[in-house]
Amino acid sequence: MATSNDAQQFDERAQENRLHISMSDAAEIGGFAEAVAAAISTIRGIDTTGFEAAAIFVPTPSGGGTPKIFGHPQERVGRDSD
Amino acid sequence: MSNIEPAPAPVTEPVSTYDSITQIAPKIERGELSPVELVEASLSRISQHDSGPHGLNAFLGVWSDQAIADARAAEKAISSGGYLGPLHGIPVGLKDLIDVAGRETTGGSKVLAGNIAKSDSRVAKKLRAAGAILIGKLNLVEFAIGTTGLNPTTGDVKNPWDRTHITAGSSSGSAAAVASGMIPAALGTDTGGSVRMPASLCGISGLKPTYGRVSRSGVLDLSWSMDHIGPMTRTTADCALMMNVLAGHDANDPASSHEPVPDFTSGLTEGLESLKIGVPTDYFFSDSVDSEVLALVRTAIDLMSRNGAEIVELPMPWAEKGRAINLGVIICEVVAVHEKIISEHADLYTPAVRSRIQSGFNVSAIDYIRAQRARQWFNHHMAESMHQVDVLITPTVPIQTPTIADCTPSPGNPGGGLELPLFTGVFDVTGQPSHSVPCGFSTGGMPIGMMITGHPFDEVTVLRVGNAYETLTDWHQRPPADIPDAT
Repeated sequence: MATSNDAQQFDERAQENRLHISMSDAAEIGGFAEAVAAAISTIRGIDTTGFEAAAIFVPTPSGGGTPKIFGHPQERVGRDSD
Repeated sequence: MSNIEPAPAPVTEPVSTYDSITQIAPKIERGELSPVELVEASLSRISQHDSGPHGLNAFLGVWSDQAIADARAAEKAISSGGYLGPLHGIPVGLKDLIDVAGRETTGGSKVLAGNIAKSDSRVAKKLRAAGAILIGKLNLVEFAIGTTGLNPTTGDVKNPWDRTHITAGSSSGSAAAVASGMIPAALGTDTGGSVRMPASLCGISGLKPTYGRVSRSGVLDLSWSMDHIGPMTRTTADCALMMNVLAGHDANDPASSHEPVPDFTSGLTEGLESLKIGVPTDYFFSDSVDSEVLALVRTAIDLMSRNGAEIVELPMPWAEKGRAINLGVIICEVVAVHEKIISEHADLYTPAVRSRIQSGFNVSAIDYIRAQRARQWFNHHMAESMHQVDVLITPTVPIQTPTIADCTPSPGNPGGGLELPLFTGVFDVTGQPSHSVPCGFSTGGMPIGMMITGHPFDEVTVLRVGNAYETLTDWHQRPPADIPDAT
């Protein structure tokens, strides 16, 4: 529904839903969102060919052994990189 | 601070709760110090310094009556020849992500108000079995989703060295409580640096053990593939004593390791001779790091070199991508943890933390997979570098301690603190053991920390280096200048 004051309407609806945020919160949220976007951009820039986290799919014997979630930190999973 | 039972009247001759466990434990064993006296001294100090408008706000709940009852039981057992070891009779606080049977676990959030734990977490159970006195729950960033230590729901924790400054987080209360001498030891959790950052900014020791070394059973998740639990104490030797109790396999934690558990104190006195210390030539020592931080860490490295360690310079240009991978994984896993609750109770989260979680909804599954692949890539490079050395030495945090005002967002200012985990987060990605120790003070009088990182499951060498450094220096022995009364 269009109104003559969308910002006010947005604010009222946010408050009705108990989701009101202050200007300070909005500033912090913006800063964090930028950090996340930058992190994802950095990750996309890494050539990870051959570094599939295959260990999470490797079955372990019943009743023993440590499930290798992401493998040992030093354990190489995947092929050699160029 | 809330849910604090009345403290006993102050003891007439206060026991120094600034003493380390290593100093206190022999006195308890010999019967020269009663656990009751020690716990009463802790409770008195908490009562004096934690509450009120100028209080540190480290504790969310203090269990005075139960703690004194447990201390009496410990005293009786010890006097009957039933001494259990160095933690017997020692008061320990727990970050409020960690379950203690019959007590509230809130995660520092309104979302979990009234959430009473049905049973002890594995670490609480182990501490009890070792005779430690569980004294209360410690403040934190809401659900540990943040690095500054600020929490609008539970109140900000203040740095004991200067109450206008942050402690860092998310284990903010744990660091403040130990640094101010309220308790000699606490537990924190570390997913992007939440044990080591506050340890650094508050001038104490904090160890993030190897991923899988300490069970997370009964502890709220933040990001399950990188969550660690670790001790926060006055000294490295005390971290070793805590690890001797905390470490070990637990079938209830799917990531718990079967690696043999060593005596973590076994290398403490071996010194630095014949050790190879890796010093990265870039990223951790770049021009963007605060100059005082750089100078103090370099001075520490020189000192260790003069005392037998071999310094190996290591180019690690790829390390700059570590925190991005850390955050990329966290932000997706935190959504998976909170998705259901936030859909039902969004209004109960603080707006900033709610939005941090919701920012993960915008990250695709493909990007999460990319982040996990990048983690494998990163671990490969780290393993190649670590192959040349026994430990790495770096600053713990690249900046000096910000003020609470610096970190409080305002219109047009998103608030500071985003740089805090740039170094610590690297070792949550790899899961290596990583330890922060005090290495000096800024010209403004705030503590600065140095990070010692080792090979997976080689906490013994990490602790050896930390203790050797502490033997050569006295930074860790300096308590904050007189803490004013909290009234």
